[in-house]
Amino acid sequence: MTKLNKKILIAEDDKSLLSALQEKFTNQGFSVVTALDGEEGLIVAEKEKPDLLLLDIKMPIIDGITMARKLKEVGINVPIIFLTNLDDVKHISDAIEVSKSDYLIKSDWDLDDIVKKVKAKLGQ
Amino acid sequence: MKDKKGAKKETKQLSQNELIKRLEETAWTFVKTVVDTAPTPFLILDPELRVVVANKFFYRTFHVLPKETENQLIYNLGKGQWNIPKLRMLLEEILPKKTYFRNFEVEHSFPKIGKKVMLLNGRQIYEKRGMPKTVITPMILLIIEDVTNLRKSQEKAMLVKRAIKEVRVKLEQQKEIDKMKSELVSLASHQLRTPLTSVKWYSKMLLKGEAGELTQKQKRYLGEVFQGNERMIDLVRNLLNVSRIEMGMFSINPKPTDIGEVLGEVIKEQSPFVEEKKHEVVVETPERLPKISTDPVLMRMVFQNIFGNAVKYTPVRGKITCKIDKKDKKIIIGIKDTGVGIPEKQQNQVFQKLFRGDNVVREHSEGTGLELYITKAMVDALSGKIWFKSKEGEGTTFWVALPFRGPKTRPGQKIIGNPL
Repeated sequence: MTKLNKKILIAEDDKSLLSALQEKFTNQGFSVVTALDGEEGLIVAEKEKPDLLLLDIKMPIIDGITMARKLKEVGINVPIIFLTNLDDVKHISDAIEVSKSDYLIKSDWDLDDIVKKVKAKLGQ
Repeated sequence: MKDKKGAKKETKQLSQNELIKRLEETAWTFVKTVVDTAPTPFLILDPELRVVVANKFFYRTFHVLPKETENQLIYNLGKGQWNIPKLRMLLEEILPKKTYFRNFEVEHSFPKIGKKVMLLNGRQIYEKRGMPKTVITPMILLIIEDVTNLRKSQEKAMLVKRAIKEVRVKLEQQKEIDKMKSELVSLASHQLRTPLTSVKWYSKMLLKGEAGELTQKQKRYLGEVFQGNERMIDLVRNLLNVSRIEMGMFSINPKPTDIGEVLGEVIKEQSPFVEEKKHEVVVETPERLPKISTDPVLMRMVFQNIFGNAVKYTPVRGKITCKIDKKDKKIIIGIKDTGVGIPEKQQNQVFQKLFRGDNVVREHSEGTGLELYITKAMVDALSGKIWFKSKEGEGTTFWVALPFRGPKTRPGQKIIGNPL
């Protein structure tokens, strides 16, 4: 398990949730970088070149979907998983359109199952 | 030939004056015929504005007689309905100023025909009556067109148009209100879900000993916290679904669906709970089951609720039988349990919001009482039917009938059920 040093970026504006995710993924051997809003997410993503993005949607300054679009524009094409508590069609279809990614409703998912999803996405 | 010769002789014998008179009479008869055949009422007035002649249609339209019309001053006809200052001016100008007027509208309650709207057109004509003096007497032709029905239909059209506009405005307003309500519900559920997620994730980590081993008692207490929070998550999800159902804002996306497969997935998904209660699950499906056009996401929710209830409300070591049949271009799914059943006196409330059986409330404090209400709404939206048979202490069977050809696609702003 210690060999899993893939880097993931978690963008999440709720500090409590971010901290839980960060701890869980770090414990699972991931290298974790974080951002509290979409703008910070963009900067961190360009600098850190993560292998996967775990993005909240509703965030200050830039939302997760816009952030994913902008990253695509600058050629950062890594797998994305949207992790959100918004579940309207508009957001879901936008999210799927931007990255053909998974869209998980936070309150319906256990942390361990989210880790499994991420690992599957990274082919592990 | 004989007749013709005779006629010629007669012509020769006539004086010039008589000939003119005959011609005049012939011409007048011709004019009268034309006048009487015309399907629009009209009057010919002399320079003093007395009626020289009116056509048959005039008499028919106004229900008046020639004797009360001919030689009368137009202003004295009927109840003096044509004695309107503006019309007087127009009529009196025609001959001296060689003018004419078009579509002068008169609305009047006529003695025998009631309220009518008439359009008047007036102009000068020449009439050679009065020959042989060969004086050309100018006359006025006044054509009166009854546009009452036209006006009525125009008014109706206007009213309809206005009503349509009002409805459209109201619909727009309603849409706006619905949109705001829906946004509010989405926002509220988002805000509610965030702290619930926090409780869920941290209590799970604690339960799993990720922050150090817990005592049995600590584990039990924390387990209660976790379960209570799960119920809250269910409640938020269900309330959100109810509000979306009530606003008619959830989408329906039918596609060819293998109902057996959907049911199978739900049974598999719930197998941990089935095993926990040591239930026996039997599935009976015909060998060949056609795919039907329905929304698999909504159907999944229907099965999750019905099968979930069967598992939950059946005492340990129970039996749950799922049976799929096809009949009359319909698929009928029956889910039978050996559970606690629904009290007879409450059976008519099963699909109401917040229904909970008196016999289950005591033992199962969880449950939102919204599942069956949502389930019925889903089945209705899928053009299906749902019914049940239940006996307290023996068990319940729920049936769902779905047509092969399900509902049309309905784009909505919201999805009900897990999107992926």
